[in-house]
Amino acid sequence: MKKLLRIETIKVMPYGVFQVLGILYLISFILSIIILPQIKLETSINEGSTDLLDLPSMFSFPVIWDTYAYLAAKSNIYLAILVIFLAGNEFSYLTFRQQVITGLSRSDLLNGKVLTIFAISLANMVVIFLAGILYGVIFTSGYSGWDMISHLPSLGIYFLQAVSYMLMALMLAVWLRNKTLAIVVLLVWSVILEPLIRLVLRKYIWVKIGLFFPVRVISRLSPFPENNLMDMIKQNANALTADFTQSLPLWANLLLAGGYGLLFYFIARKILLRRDL
Amino acid sequence: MNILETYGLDKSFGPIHAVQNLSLQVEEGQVCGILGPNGSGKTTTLGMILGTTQPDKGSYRWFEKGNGPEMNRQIGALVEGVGFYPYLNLIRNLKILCRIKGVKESDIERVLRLTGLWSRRKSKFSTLSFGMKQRLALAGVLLGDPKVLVLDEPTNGLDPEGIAEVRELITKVAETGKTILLASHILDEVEKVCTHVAILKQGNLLVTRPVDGLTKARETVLLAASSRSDLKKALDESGMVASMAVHGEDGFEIELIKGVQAAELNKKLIGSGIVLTRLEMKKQTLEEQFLELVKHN
Repeated sequence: MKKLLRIETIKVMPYGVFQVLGILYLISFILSIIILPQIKLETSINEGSTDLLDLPSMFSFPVIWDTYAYLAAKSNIYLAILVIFLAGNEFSYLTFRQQVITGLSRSDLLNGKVLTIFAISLANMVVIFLAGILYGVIFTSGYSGWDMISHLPSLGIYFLQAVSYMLMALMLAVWLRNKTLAIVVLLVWSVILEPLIRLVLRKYIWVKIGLFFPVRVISRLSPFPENNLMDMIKQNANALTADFTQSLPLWANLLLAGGYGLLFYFIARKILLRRDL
Repeated sequence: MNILETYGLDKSFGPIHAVQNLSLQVEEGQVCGILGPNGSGKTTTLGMILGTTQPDKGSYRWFEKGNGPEMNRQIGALVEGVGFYPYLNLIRNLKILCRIKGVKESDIERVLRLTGLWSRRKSKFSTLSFGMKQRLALAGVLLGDPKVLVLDEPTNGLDPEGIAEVRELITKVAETGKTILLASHILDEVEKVCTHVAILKQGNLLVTRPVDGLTKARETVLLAASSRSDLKKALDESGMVASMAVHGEDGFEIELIKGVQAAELNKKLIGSGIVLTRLEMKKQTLEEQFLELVKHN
């Protein structure tokens, strides 16, 4: 495992796309945690005026961990594209083939990429943790030690979310062996196809079936934190917003996301073990 | 000891039967050339024994043990289309191979010097010429001083000087007792560096034997005398000639019946009153043998 991780480090660190996407990811995350707390969405409820988003509270302990996990998860697409680049390159550069010839097993090829995914997710979690501690300590007034850590498991859940989504991207890269095609399929599936299928199946088969789809399950691991806006949306839920507000219990989403991650891994493994390189 | 044994290897790509029931043994110390025209199954065969192409049927084993990553680490292999990261420099590319093979990184300097790439060690792979890329692949093959080398068209894309260097390198390596499998369609290359040869055609193994044995297998004799008609009559009457063809203005190229020596024929011709003005043994070149084999199979 150590050997695989070292090999991956030699490959990945000087890679331009890794550096660019990593920087883009960090910039988008940092910008979002700087800009978002300044936004106010005021509305009149009864006689008083209420900030619907109440963003300052979302960036205070303990909710800050849920908020950061949500924001980081929104940028997971960069990480998924990075994984597609890393795995797709191995086919286009013929390096997977070279490494099998030199003495790596086909499982090692895949495990190296899975380790990279774990390492990226872990590094990401550390960045979020440090940013959260820093921001929370500076901008939260009157917090206890328990407030600081009580929502910390959100980061662990985010870790699973990032890993599962990147495993989906890895499976696509191994299956399609073409970076551009894999990125297009990932985006089309995540943004257009799966939501459409969910909508159609909800209408004609079972209203809750959409909750079991992979992108939906993975994305619901780090939901938009509870606040006035969410309460209002839930109260006024209709057919369109139901897809946004409805969710399986957290434990079910965790199990399903883990299951999907494993499924993506085993599909990629089967493809890699069977195919000529 | 057999370094490589294959048993009934078979591989198809759709309707194309690339390799058919290939059984082959390569002994320790042999420099075995795998010869065949383009599309004969050479690269597919090497792909199967190196684990990159999955055989449909059959099996193979290295070092009389088995196959897999552990065996591959003891082999240095260069296949068509070198696999390196274009954005990494030569040292980093070779470091990856060192880690996989479990070889010390200090060996990188040795192989880069041996292949004349030490001065370019910090250049990105993408900036190398085709010939240099091929030499880097050779450097990767030589990492860790493996017992066995598998080389697929190693001189492809090299300039004449590069070809000569690689041949010299292969010959030098072979002299150290290493076993080499060399796939090529350049017959001259195989004849110069190989001790044994396996000839493939459309996925079938036509023949496998020592290069020397193959070129000696069909030795002919060039004969000439002052009178061609008298010579022909004497040859016909000798009962020692398997086949005969006109050669030059006054002679014949003949193939002797198995077991008959040229000296015996000469003695008989003298007895018949024929004085030869030319008696020359002619070994068939590998190229002639190859073309004949490929043509008749």
